[in-house]
Amino acid sequence: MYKQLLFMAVSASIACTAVADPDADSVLKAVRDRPDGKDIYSETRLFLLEPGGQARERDLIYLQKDYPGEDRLTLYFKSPSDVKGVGFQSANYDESAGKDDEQWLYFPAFRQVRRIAAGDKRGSFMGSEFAYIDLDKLRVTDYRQTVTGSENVNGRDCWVIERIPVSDDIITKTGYDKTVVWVDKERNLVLRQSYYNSAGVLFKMMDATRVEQIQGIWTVLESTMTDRLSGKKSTLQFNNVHYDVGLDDSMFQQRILQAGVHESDLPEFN
Amino acid sequence: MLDSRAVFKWVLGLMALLMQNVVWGHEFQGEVALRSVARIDGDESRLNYAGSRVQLRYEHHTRDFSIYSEGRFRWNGVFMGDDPYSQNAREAYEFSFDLREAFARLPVPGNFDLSLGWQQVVWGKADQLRILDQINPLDIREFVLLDMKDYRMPIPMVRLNGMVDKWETELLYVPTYTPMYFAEAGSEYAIPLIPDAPGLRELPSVQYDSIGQGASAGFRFSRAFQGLDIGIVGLYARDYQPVFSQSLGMDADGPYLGLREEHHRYFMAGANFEAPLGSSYILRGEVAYVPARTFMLQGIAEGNGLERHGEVTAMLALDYTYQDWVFSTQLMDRAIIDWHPGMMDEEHTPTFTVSAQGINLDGHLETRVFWATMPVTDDGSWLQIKNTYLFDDHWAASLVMDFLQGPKDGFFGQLKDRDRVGLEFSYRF
Repeated sequence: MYKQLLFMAVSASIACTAVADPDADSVLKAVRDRPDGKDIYSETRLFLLEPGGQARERDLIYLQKDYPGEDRLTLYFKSPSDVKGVGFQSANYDESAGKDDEQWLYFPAFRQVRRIAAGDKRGSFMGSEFAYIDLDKLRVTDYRQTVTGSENVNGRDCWVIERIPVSDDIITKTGYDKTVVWVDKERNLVLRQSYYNSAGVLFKMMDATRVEQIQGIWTVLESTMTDRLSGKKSTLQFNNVHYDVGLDDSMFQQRILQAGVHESDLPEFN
Repeated sequence: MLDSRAVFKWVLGLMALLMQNVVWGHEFQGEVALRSVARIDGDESRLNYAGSRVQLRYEHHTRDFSIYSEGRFRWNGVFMGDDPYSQNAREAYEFSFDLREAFARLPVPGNFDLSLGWQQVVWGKADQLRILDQINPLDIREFVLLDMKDYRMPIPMVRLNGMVDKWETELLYVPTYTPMYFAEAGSEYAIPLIPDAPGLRELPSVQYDSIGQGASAGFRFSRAFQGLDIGIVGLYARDYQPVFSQSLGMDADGPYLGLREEHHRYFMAGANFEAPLGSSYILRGEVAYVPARTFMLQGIAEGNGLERHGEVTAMLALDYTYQDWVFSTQLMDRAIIDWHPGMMDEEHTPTFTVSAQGINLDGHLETRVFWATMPVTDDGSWLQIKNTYLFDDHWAASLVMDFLQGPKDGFFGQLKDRDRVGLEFSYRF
């Protein structure tokens, strides 16, 4: 009997060692650093859905390009008319640089490109449930993270990782006292993320509802953010996604915000 | 002369067509609004605007060129029939049409763009203050109570924009002089430039119609550098603010002091910056130096009662972001170099503004509160509270309140009995 129990204990120990959870930092670094092309073009649609059924849509052009030590993003709104011509640019620096991101906003009515504070990203992105922080590249060193297990999300085997901000500054910047992310083990994609407030209440949830492989790169083509308290939802849809199209540096200079991004400025796609 | 009524009917017909999304590969958008504004001043309260506004915008973009144009048509029913305003005001403001911009942009070799036509150009980073923002004149038929974007006047110009090394570069040339538009005498916000006093005569103003007299030119270089946005500008132009040369004369009524409106040339050199301070703050600054600007003297000591002095205008501002709100303060001062008590202007004219702008009710309510004061020169203050409720992407309602305070001879105080409340319903397409 004693030998059977000892055998079972040793077997269990071996089994645990063989499938030990990976280091959460490594998993998230793999997510952060996974190949995503030298640049990206997408026609993006933002849906804002209210509990009463009222829906609003925003169409924008999404441009992103990698530069040494940073990547730059230009968003240009095409419709509806009350946001047409609004432009947003950001420079997101690699974590190793230890620099705050930089952001600029352009409102066509005021004809000024204005820098906006990047230290508080809790604000709503164009009235949606996505905050500005939700559009940022994943940052690993801003959190202490732990793998808490595995779960299946939409048929994909995922690591479940709990993340706690390392400082009050990060909580102020993000508005989140805790997040939990579900990471596709094979594709290194975040498929779900939940957000908790200071009272420990789960108040927001993000789900990647459509994932496809584009030019060999697994891409989240649709994600939905749900406010669990109000019931409001917003969906970001990425259409006509192209990687490595050779976006010109002029697409990431401030003057493009004033001139506007138009199809005629972009490479022709096959 | 443009028949405003005919234009209005044409615009209504075109809008009906455009709202059916008949695009033909071009971009149209517009706004229709019903607006009413009332003066709130006890016994003198009255409606001073009850009408509509139609704004249409057209853009067309190809790889070879882009076209931008926008026009605004306004009708004010208050000027129909008998009212307390002057005939001039009635004719000018019952129906009015103005261009907001109309220009073509073409790419030129070297990654530059050339823009030709009627344009608005904003330099600097100030809110509702003009330090470097000196390119375009202003239409102040409603004083300064509208957003500056709504009363900045487009002017014809040639503009070249591009990158030189890491600097965004802009060169512009304006061939003609367009004067500022002051409210018609006898209208709600009319401010006489010359007091109506015995012994004063307004002489015909100097005209600047030729290119040699009216042209202006400028440059701007800007870039983001080490976490800082910086800009450097230079402008050679004719002053939009008038000065009045003084001369003594005699007519049948006796001796008089003649005042002639003039707009003198000046050169401005300036710079601006924007820098993040900590996590939620942005610091903004602007400075403009004019080596020689024309100022008026109190009385004719020598010559024509005008004198040239250097001038420095500087502004420092701090913006604080908290979630969906931005709180800003700005402190600006205009200082005259080698000032003396014989000048009509004060040596220093500081202006302080505070504003809060944010979004509430899940993005449906936009609120802005703006307060400006000029306490040192006793010019009074202006408080504006504006709320815009967005029913959806098309329909909106705005409520705006303006309160002006101060001594009657102060900049804001001169219209202290013109406090107002306005309501507007609009549809955007």
